[in-house]
Amino acid sequence: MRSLGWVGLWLSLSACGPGVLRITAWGEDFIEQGIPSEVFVDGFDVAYSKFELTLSEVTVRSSRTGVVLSQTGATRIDLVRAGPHEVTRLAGTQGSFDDVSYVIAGPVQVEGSLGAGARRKRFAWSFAVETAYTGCLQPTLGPSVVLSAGREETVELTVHGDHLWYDDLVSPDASLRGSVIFAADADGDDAITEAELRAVELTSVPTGQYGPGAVGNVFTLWDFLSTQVRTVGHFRGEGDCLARPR
Amino acid sequence: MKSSRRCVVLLTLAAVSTSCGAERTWTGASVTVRAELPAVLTTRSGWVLEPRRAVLHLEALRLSEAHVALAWWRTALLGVANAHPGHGDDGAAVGELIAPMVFDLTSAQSLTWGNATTLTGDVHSLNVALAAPGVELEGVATRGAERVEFAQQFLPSSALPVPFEAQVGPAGGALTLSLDVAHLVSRLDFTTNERAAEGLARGVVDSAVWRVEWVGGAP
Repeated sequence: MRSLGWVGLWLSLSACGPGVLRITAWGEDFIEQGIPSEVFVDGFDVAYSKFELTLSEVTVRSSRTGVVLSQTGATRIDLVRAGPHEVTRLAGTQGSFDDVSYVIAGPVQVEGSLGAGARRKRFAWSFAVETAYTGCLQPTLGPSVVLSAGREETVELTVHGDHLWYDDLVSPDASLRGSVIFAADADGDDAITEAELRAVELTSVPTGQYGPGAVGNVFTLWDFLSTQVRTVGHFRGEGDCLARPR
Repeated sequence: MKSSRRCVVLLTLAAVSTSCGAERTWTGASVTVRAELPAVLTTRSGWVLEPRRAVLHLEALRLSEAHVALAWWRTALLGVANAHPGHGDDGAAVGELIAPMVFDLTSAQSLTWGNATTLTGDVHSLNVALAAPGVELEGVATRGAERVEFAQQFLPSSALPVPFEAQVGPAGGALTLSLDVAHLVSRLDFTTNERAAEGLARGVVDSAVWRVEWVGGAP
């Protein structure tokens, strides 16, 4: 009887104690395994050997209670390694948090190869960008994450490695395309460099491709990729956030 | 047509003011446009432009609660029916000015566009709508021994979203839209007519062309 009382006390303490939001990051199969040619419009494929970035300022807020839980420090992760990877653990009392935000800080280092069949070229790019993702929203689950007393909930910040290869920021008909970036290797040394991408003005690519919409100062292929890399941050799989340069 | 469209927008504004409680009230903002024109217009591909005619056909300005998003998938996710592609955060129009005006970009003068009716509160972007034929450029371009007579025009398919942060108070304020003509034409390359057309189209939709200043009215 006494032991049952202890069990009851332990259970009640567990239920009332703080909960933990375990924040993870995952690059999905596209970053870990590669992006197959079937999803590219022109038969190219991509294999990443590095997709390294820094996650910081992970914050959950409750608009009802005003409670805010925030990450301290920052976590640098190479998403090519098998994930999900733990970013931080946020402890707090039970509640629903309807405002999730985070920051991806640079450099975002992306290395790998792009090719079609036996023809392959290497790339090793470093993007000095910092992007804030706010107002995160998941199509099915909505914006909220729930912290339950005495429990651990996992919230995934998903990184979409395929977005780097979309050929338009504006059109919903955008496709994954490799051929234009592949052709940017002007010296033919099978390495596509930042300098070579900077040399390709977007006015020289086929009309209708690589449209940046209202985003300012996107003149070259490098500018375009530097913008696209800001759109890789997502929320719980297919969820999305408002991405803004910092 | 214009009056019915204005009616729809104002009804939308009214709905916003009602749904957001008593804090939001109607006010106004004077809108001025000006062109920043350097002494010499040189493009990224080395062409020097001598425009005979450079005209912007303005139609309407709308202030919005929406943030300018980086990519289309945010718009798709939210399903915002009235959002411009690339202008995808949820949010309503909170102010507007509908006043067709032809603006001479070579004048380098400030011109009063009109007075926008607006609600108090936060603004995160504005939209500039152009009337046909949009932007017109005519003149001569030279690069070394090359000389090209050009005549280009471009009308964007929808209003141009521009990031802009302001808090509109009850006293309203003054909005100045400055257009950087050098940036607008910087992509023009007269190697082919197609590249020149593409360069103008990309310049017109580049939000960095616009610089927006807001001065709140005295309370």
